[in-house]
Amino acid sequence: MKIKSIEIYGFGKWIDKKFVNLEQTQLFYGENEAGKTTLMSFIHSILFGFPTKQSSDLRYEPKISSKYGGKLVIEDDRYGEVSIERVKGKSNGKVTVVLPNGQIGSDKLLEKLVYGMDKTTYQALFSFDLFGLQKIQRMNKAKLNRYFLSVGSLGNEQLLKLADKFQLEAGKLYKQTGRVPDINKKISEVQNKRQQLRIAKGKNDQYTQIYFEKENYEQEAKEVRETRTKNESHLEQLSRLAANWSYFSEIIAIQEDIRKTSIKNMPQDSLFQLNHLNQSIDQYKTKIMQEKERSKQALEKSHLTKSQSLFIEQKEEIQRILSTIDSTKAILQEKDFLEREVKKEMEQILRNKLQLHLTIGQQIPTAQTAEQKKEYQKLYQSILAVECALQEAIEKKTFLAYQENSLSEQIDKIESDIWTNHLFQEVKKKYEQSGNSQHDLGQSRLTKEKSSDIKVIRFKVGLIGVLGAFLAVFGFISTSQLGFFLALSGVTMIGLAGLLYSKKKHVKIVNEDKSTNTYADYIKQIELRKQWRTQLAEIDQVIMESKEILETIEKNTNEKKELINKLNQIIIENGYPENTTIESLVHKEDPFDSLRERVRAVEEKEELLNQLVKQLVQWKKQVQFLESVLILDWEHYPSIIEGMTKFYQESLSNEQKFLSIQNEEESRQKEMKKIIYEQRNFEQQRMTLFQSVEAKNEEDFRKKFILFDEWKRKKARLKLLEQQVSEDIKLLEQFRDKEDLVKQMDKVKKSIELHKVSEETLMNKRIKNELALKELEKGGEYSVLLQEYANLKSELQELVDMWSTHKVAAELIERAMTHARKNRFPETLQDTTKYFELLTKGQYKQVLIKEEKIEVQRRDGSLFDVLELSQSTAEQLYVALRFAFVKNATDIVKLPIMIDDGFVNFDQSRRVQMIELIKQISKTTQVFYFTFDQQYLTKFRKDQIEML
Amino acid sequence: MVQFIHGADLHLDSPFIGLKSMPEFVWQAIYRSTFEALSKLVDIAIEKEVDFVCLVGDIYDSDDRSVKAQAFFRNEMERLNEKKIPVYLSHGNHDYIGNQGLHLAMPENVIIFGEIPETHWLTTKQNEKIAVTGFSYTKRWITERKIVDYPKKYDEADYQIGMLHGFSEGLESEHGKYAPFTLRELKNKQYDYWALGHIHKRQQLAAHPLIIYPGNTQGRNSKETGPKGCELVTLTDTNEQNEFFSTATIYWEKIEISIKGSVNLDDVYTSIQQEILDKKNMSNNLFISINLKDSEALLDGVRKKISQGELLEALQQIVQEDNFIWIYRIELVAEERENEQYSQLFPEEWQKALIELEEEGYFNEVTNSFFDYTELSDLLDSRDSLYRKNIIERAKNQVKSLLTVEGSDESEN
Repeated sequence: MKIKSIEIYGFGKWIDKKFVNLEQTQLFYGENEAGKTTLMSFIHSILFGFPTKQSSDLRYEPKISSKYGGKLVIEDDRYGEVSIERVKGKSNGKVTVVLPNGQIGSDKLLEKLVYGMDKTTYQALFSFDLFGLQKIQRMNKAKLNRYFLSVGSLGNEQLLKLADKFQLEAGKLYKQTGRVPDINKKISEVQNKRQQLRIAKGKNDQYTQIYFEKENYEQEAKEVRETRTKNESHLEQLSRLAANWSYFSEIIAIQEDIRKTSIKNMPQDSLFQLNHLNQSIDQYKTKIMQEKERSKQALEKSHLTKSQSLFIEQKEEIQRILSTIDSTKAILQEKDFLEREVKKEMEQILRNKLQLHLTIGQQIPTAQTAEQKKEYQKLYQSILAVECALQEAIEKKTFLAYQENSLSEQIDKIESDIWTNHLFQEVKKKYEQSGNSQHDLGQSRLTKEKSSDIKVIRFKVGLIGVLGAFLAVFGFISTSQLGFFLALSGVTMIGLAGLLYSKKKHVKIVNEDKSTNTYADYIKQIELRKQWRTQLAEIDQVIMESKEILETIEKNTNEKKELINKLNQIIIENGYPENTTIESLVHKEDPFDSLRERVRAVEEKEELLNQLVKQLVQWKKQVQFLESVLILDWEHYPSIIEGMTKFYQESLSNEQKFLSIQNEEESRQKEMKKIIYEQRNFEQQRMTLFQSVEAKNEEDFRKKFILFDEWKRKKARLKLLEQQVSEDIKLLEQFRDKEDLVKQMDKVKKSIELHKVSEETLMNKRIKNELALKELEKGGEYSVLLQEYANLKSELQELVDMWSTHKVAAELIERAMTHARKNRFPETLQDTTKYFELLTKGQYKQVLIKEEKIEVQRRDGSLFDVLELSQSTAEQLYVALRFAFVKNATDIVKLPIMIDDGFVNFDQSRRVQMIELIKQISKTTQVFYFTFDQQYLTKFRKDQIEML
Repeated sequence: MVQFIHGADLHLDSPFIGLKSMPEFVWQAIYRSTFEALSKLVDIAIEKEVDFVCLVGDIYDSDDRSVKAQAFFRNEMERLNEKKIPVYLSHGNHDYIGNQGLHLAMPENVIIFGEIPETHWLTTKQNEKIAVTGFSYTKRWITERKIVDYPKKYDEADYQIGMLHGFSEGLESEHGKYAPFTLRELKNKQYDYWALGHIHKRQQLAAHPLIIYPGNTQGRNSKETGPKGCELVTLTDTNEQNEFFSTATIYWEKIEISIKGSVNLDDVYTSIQQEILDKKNMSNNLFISINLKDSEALLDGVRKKISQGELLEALQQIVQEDNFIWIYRIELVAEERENEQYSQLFPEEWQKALIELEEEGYFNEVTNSFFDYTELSDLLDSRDSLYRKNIIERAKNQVKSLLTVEGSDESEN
């Protein structure tokens, strides 16, 4: 392939740039930053694709232009002139390949054009830069040979590097003596785990051991158990003996007992007989008792009460009295009638008495005598006379009182208009200058008089009051009608006195002051004073007369009083009613006659009544003896009669009952006699029974029966015991006594205990072992270890596989290299020699391969190991090898070589040689040389140079 | 009619191979899985009221059987004993009876075959006479043709069943070629059923009579995928049929997920989660290995995170649940598009190197520096052709991928 022209649409700094007519050897010159690297990248990108966005390579997408990519026109041996265009597109860009025949292709076609090469490999083989040489400088001698071999045989050291890397990785994984590498570590882990697992496996043996132990324990336990069971059954036998021992001794005892006792045979039912007899006797006894009780009760029932016995005793007397009852009843009726009459009369008398103003208890006055009648007439006349006189005086007194009153009024009237003495005197002085003492005197006297007058009246009134009070007190004290009267008049007097007094009090003197007194007034006053004095004189006269009249009245009153007292004396003496007046005594007939008559009739009836009562009392006395049995009101005759009658009838019926009870009792007595006979009969039989067993009495009989019963039981017991013990009897005989037996038992018991303990111990051991076995059977740990071990093995396997892979990979490369060396190196070697000679200006004649080693021969024929070469010579050898490889590869891959200032550090002469070599190479392969070294500009033709 | 369960290769207490650390409940599920598989088998036998049970070898995973495994097995057998179901048991190469280790006593319903092929008789409830013929391994390696010693079908047997733990010649197998036999040899015995064991992959070798490897009851590593369980076999005068019952609580699965177009870790995570979600609702736990393909668009950083196990770690953050899915491996599948530059440059040499290295001698030479010096080589995969091929493939891919990585290690020293 030869690149003929480069057209850049947009790539990094290059926009719309064309490089045409590119030579077989083409120099691209430019300063730093001129775009050499960009251009190289462009070529790479067109041929192998734009770097992806994730790639570490720069993509050189233009910042200004939207166009990205460009076109190469190449000359291919196989297709002719082909244009390759790559623009922006999916992942590595869109490729259009146009063949000369117009055929258009894409990636696939391009892949063919570049011989299936990828960018990395292309760069490795066809790109030269400083680094390859620098590597030689750093390479140690041992590696250098292989390095050269690799470059010689594979055209490049990259595969070798890879092989080394694999070896290194493998070395990191495993070292035969190391401990750190992963595999070594893992191995020890696996070994550890295997050891653990072995220990865990050991538990299987442990299991066996425990298992056998367990079986042994079981066997032992079984044996022990058997022995124990044997002992236990022996003990059981002994225990039975021990238990039967008491039976055994009992048997002997009973046998002895039976032998000793002699018992008369008793009929089986003798006790029954006895009981039967006893029962019968008891029955009869009870019957007798009952009958006795009954007769007692009957007797009690037939017992006579007090009343009954009394009745029986006095039956005739009672019957006699009963015959008198009717007559007594009649008397009683009459008596009642009389009593009612008397009572009625008495009531009438009483009423009459009251009508006649007699008190109830008052005797009826005796009838008036003629003498008495005369006396009464006389008294009557005297009283009339006194009363007449008194009447007259009282009338006069009333008239005088009237007079006094009217005068008093007049005086009061005048007094109201009269001036006071003082005023009058002043006025009098004023008008007369001469002392009118009359006035003064009159005035003073009047005043005196008046006051004394008032005093008199007051005295009189007070007198009346005192008298009234005296009368009232006296009247109240005396209880007689007169007293009452006196009191009444006394009170009246007090009232009168009060009235008078209050009237007197109203007398007042009016003093009026008159400042403006006319003379007329003065005259009038004089007049008034005159009138006043006249009036005063009149009234004094009236008062005098009144005094006299009052005295008269007093005298008459006293007289009258005396007369009335006389009358009263008469009333009291004769027992007349209090209200009896003298008139009634004088004028009326004697009012008590009829009354006296009635009293006499009553007295007669009462006499009759008394007689009847006497008869009744007599009768009652006859009946009195029944008082103790008849409970009734003995004061009330009808009830006595009734009670008598009732008593008689009841007693008669009781008498009947009593007789029937007596009959019953008689028949009962007969019955009892029969029963007693029967009872005796049974008692006789019982006696016979006792005698039959020689018993003295029942107690003896019973004792004997009990003994007999016991004897029977013992016999039965003996039989039973003999049955029970029968099989052991012989065994029992082995032991001297019970103690001996017990001793033997204790021995066996102890042995059983011992066996039990040892069996338990064995069982515990067995259980322990069983638990241990169970634990082992769970075996979780072992499974875990097993899996962990498997995992570690897996991990180890993986590591080993990785290690093997690395090893094999390295070996693969080495082997491929070895084969390549054998196949290709000879051809390459010729070119290498040629180039090396050229580069060293003929100093070295030959490059040889000897036993996997590269040697060079100097012009003088001496051989050198590559290790012995100088640095610069080694670099020359490297270049020679690489160029030789490229040249030889052209039969397979024909691609241009790109050199990026690869030889800048070559000295001048070597650089010249280098350019010479490039020129030679370019005969078969296009060479693009990128440089900033101006020196090169002179070494190439102008058309071979592109200035950037 | 006779009905029985045919199981083999229980590998009780067998560890799972190819796992690293995981949460406790996943551990627990693993520990229990082989045991639970046995329990399930017993459950089925009891439920179906079978006439008997055949267990054809490799009951235990190793000759020194763990006490736990034995005790568990005994207890399960006791369950069958209670139901009066006899068990015919032969030991295989893994649990051969030659060792001196502990053997727990089994209940009386368990009949264990001896070293030489022998026949045990059983009269079923239906009064049919059954003959069961088999043998047990007494050492790990039995290379002789044991089939030769098997008797022809007895005339008095209504049915005869042959139990044989061994290798059927002609099969591709990683398992040892022990007690080998051919189908012809089996058929010649004229038995009514051949209960085989040893091969863990379930397969029916013939239909008349039925010759069946039931496979193991629980897969124990990534290779043991597919159905894992036991066979319920029903034989009648005229018919023979088998029904498979799954017993595994954990299934291993390899899935391939295309992450075409996925760029970042999130996309990948989501795609995987989606795929896992579809796998759920099964009746058992799943151990899944994932191959991610079509990863072109993936960012380099993401790629790195995936290969360094960060994604796996994230996906392993699961909560405990009844039927969980445990992802134990995630790998990016190498691109089909290969860079053949170098091989193109020197294809012959490259190819030659590959072929050379596949040879045992060369391969061992390269790797002896480890294998010759470690005591543990017996614990590791043997460097057989399969292994060699595998390693070389990986190496090739590594070289290629490293060469492809842009700007690869320039600053190596």
